[in-house]
Amino acid sequence: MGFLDKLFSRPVYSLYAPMAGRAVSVADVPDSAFSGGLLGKGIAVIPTDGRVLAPCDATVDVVFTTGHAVSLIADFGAEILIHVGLSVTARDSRFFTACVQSGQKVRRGDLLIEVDLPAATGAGLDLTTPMLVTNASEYAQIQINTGADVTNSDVAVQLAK
Amino acid sequence: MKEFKHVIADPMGLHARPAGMLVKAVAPYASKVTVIAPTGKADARRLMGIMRLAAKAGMELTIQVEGADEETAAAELQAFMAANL
Repeated sequence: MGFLDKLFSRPVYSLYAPMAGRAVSVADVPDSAFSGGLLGKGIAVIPTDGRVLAPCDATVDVVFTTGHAVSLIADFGAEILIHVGLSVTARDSRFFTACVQSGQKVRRGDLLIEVDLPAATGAGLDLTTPMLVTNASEYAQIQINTGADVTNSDVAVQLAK
Repeated sequence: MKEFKHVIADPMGLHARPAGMLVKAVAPYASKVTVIAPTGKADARRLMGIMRLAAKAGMELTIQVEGADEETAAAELQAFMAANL
């Protein structure tokens, strides 16, 4: 694990990248709702694959009716929002297929949403996908791993209370 | 306690961005702010709670404001919601 568990004897929790692609800092996302920290702390993935996968074992909380966003409650307690794309509007819902329902238990790697990446990109959508811990204030330390190409096997965010 | 109603105008409903804006708008006030929708009720300081309402365009919300600064908070939040949600 990372430096956090060397620094602290308390448990460190990991969130894996929800999509394959390039991991970037959410502060660099060109949308102030995300970059300003309004919705929480985390990373964003510029995806190269349309499958959105569970970043940890969790329970699905809310599936947005447009299919482009899902919130999860991690088994370890974090509240997680995965929001596919930045300026998605109601008429873009045709590009998104939600594969889970509210209340459903998921394991890390389970398919949450499928995005028709070629069609959505062709329609001009920016599919940068923030994954945010919306109860970030409950964690003393949050380490984000950005700047690399990632898959669901890579740890993107580490949290310690 | 002060109370006002708001009908959601945003065609996507109360999704992540407006929910975040609402949480931020409520933050400066001391009062407890509760959002009541036909789908449930939520503490306006809790982003996940607000999103869980899955409030859609055209849905009427009742907002209850209770606390020391409820007069100011209710008036300013009503204006905020009319302008943004």
